[in-house]
Amino acid sequence: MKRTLGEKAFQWVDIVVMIIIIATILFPFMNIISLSVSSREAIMQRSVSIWPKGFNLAAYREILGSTLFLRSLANTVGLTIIGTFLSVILTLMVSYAMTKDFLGKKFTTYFFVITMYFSGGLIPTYLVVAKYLNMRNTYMALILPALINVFYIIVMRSQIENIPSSIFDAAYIDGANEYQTVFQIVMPTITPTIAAISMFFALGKWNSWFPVMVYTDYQKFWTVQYYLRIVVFSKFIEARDGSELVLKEMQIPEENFRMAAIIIVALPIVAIYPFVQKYFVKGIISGAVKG
Amino acid sequence: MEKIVQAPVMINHKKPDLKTRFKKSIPIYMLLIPAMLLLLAFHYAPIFGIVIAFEDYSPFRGVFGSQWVWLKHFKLFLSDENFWRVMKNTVIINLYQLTFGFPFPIIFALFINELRSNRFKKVIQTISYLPHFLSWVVVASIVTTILSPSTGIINNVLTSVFQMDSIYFLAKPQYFRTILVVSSIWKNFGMSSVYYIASLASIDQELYQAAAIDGAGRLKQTWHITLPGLRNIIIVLLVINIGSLINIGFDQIYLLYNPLVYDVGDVISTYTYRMGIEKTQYSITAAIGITQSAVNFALVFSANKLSRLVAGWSLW
Repeated sequence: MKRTLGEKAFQWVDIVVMIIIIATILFPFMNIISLSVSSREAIMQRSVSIWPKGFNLAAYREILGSTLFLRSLANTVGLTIIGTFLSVILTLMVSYAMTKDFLGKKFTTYFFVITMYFSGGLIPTYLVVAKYLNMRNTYMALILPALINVFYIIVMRSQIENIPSSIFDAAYIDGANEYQTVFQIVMPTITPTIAAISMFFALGKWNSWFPVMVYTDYQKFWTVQYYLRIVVFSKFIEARDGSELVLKEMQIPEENFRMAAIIIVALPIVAIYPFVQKYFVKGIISGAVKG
Repeated sequence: MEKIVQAPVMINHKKPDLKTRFKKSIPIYMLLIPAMLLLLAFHYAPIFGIVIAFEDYSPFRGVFGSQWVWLKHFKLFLSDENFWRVMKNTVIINLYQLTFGFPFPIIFALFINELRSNRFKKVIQTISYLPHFLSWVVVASIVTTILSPSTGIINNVLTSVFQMDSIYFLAKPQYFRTILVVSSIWKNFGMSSVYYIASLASIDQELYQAAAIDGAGRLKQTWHITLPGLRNIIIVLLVINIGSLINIGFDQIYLLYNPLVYDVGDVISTYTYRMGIEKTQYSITAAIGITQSAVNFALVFSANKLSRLVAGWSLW
């Protein structure tokens, strides 16, 4: 097909616009990486933009060698793995059960679906977890409340319904019980769906910090996200200037330290997401179709 | 032969009695019970816990021992100007997000769609997803860094190139909402464009060829074929967005705001958090929570009705 001059010109405009948009995403990262490795003098002279000035890895050494950070990292990894594992197992069990016929199915369906539309809200949930279940300062408070997401149950159930019934018949004849059917028949058949849902769960758990803030009081419960929050945002102090409340930026010389913390916390996601993004894209599109 | 004929006769067509059905269902219950217990504890208990909105709840007396006060707390917050301030901020910030944040992914998708190189398309898309995967803690850290008055890159440019004084953007009420809108767009436009790019891919290519033969240029094709093709998905997402008009994410604002910008940036979720968890005003914040859910529900309902009226299409 022949292209008109206007179309060719537009193609170039399009490419330039895209490059500008992508630059706005990448520049902040380059800026922060540069700040994290530049010398203190260069940072204070405000001469660092997207290329480092001077070279200094002290901040990275300091963070990666700090017990507090390593403890936070271990917590994050542990909570993500355990949480994702439990979430997926529970989702799978419920999804499979909901494809079967049993006494009280209608009630059970309502029981799950209602939670998508109604919630008690922040304060009642906080009171239940912290005061009535006595889960303040326990790992339970960081794992259990967020295990079930009914949306994923709906997605997974529709996948299980697509499994040909002959497979289940064969398992039934072989005398498999329901647990065996779930984990030995259903699970291997819908691996792609399970992989996708695991990734949604894992990302949510990796990025979570709010439960740490509201349910725990000690550093031993910190996750990397919460660590970053404290490192970056504790630089503000509220001070009274006469009668007026003002904010002051504390002069912490270790600007590198904060920048390195951002990079270290962001890095695992930046490194992994290009390989898993297709699952998210598929998941979002199929969610839109279902929703 | 005889056996095959007999088999159907042996099946009992009468519904088995409850006891047998219950017994048969037990293995299924075993699969359901762990998840149902979790929802009971962490979802249903809090739902029933909202009764504290109608009591002078005190943790020492408990839900059953506290004094019942009916609508006292509702009257209290409805006559509190702080509540109306955060209500106003929530709606205004959401309307800004909607006005500027909603069209952006559509325009981005159209631009992506017009690119001719598939490889370039893939690269751009993948990079545009990146901020979606990062937590608000990371994104807010990035925002604070580049806007920092002492070392931030934006102030570096302002002071060195334009010879201006550095500006403490995050402490200035006039900039705060802009910062929220821009950082939301930055974080979400890539992933949000996924919906539109998928819809664009499903538009019949023959329509474009036919239009081209009729002499329609690219712009006319976009107007008459592409945008109508996106209509349904635009309506769905718009309805969802309007439904959450008084819901605003906690993370972004909580991480970026400070007392100097409360007037323009404090929203229902952050206010509830401060009042409820920091100041332990449990009853009044539970009352605010109920009101918020009710308004939400009304909004989703009317947005859906509206879209059925205007576009002949609705979520349910």
